[in-house]
Amino acid sequence: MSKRPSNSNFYGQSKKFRSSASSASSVQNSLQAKGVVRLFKLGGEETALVVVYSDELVNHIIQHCPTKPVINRFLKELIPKVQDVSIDKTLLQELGFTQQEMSDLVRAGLLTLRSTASFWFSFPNAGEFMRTYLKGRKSVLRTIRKCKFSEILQFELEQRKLEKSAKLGMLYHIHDMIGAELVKCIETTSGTLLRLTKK
Amino acid sequence: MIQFLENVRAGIVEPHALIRAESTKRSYNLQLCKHRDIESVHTAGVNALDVDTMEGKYLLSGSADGSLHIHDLQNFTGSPHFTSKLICKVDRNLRTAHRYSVECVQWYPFDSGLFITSGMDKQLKIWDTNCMKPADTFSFEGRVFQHHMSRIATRNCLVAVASSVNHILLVDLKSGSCTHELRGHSSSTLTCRWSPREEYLLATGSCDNKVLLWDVRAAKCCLKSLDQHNGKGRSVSEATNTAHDGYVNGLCFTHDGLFLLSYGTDHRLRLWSTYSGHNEMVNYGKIPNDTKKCMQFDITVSSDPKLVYVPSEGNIFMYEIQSGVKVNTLLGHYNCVNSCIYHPFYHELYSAGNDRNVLIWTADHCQGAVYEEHLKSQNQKKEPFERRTLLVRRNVMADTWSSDEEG
Repeated sequence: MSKRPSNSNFYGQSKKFRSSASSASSVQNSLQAKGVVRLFKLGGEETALVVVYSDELVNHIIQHCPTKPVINRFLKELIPKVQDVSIDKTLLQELGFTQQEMSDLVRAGLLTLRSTASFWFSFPNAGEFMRTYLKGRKSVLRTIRKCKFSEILQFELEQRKLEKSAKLGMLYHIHDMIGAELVKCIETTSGTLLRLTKK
Repeated sequence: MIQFLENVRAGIVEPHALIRAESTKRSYNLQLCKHRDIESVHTAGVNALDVDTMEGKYLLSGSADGSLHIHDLQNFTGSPHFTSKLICKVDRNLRTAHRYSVECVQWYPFDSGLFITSGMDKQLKIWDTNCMKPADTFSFEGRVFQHHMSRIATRNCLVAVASSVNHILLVDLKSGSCTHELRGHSSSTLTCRWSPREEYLLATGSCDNKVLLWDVRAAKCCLKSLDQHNGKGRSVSEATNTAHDGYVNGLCFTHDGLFLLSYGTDHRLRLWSTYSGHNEMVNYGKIPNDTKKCMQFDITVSSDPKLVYVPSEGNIFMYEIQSGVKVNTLLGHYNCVNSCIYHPFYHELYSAGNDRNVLIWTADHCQGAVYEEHLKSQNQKKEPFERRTLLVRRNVMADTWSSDEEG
């Protein structure tokens, strides 16, 4: 229970850019190159990438993982060096991580198994984040679907209350849905209209 | 346009700029052609189209019931209203035709005396156009999804075949053998394309979500597996690179061979640089794509922001390649669109779908007004004849039954 407030802080700050997955424009590329931002590929939705600010990621890891020397080494060496979404076992071995350390990292939630010889990068409680995110998205979509013609003005949607389980906030989900092209934005004289795309 | 021509003549502007400007303008203005169409003789959904490269005169189409049709595209009738007539066809009941559906057709790149078709009956047939009989047939173990022959190959005559077995087969037309296999995919290959720049570079896409680039001259041919995340910090383990998160349905090189577009069932189109294998990270948005077989799409030639025409369910979307901006949606088919071909000389798009139609999309809609005037002038020519007959009728309509005898 004590996790919740810190989690919601974290959630509030991990943002998804408005454009859809793998749409890294030059701005995002340079942010990634400078190390300000880090991308993760979480397994929930196929082409979704999660963007997290690097310093908040480091804080979050320190907060949630048991303090082991492995974790510190991981933070200091791996995160600045490797900017990818996934990493090979051979590369980890080259950087000096043993098998035991790798399984420690997996248990701490920092690496996830991708195939026999490679891992995805991840962060602790990523599963909980995906669950809240998917629930929130479904509830917002349900709200729009219940409206007449499956469309609603954006400011009216913002005024409606979300369920308690959707902790990410209405604005976050609106931006996310526009980027994933689940709703179409239509400019009208009374503001932006969000209409569900078919299927 | 006139000003442009004057500038070219004066040497202010280079001639290529005129070609670029005109073809760009025409590529952007595509609409369903109202006064030209293709004679509808198809008995089943049309799967594949090809236009011959030498003259751009013949349109070859392959259907889902195994029949093949060739239409003549050139208009010598003098009237803007024109139906492209069927020249010859291979009926599905012929003993030599494909038994199941034809998935891919291609003219021989150097003249129209030969064309190659392949289909679900696991066969690749090489047809002689003048006799409309297959000159040679190759049988494979897997159903063939696509085949491609390089347009620039001078030293080899290889046809790459993508089928439901895990390797790509290379058929050599000169010797008649198909023993060269390219192994690298772990699932059936859906699509293959030769590069228009290098005659030995081949790109293939398969159901294991990968796009592989091959150099067919080397023993270990696989050059690179394209990675959608552009992984940099990894040692050379390409076993887990994926280009898409779903099957790779279609591949198309740009005309200069510098970029490759790949289309996948994860509803995404991705642009790759051919020489570095880098994902250019252009966002085209979500393009619904649920077909599990090869989709043929095409890129404009010689226009400046190059456009790609992508079929998706019943629509054809037009995107700018470098920026990912959606230019237009072409609606016209009643069912799924299977393939789009861009005619390089006329700057027209031909699209084929499961609704048995081959539609022409053209930029020449101002011809509609010309056609109206043409029709009016034709009517005026007819009128003097009609007046003469009316006069004759008036004479005939004279009263012949009332008698003059009644007082």
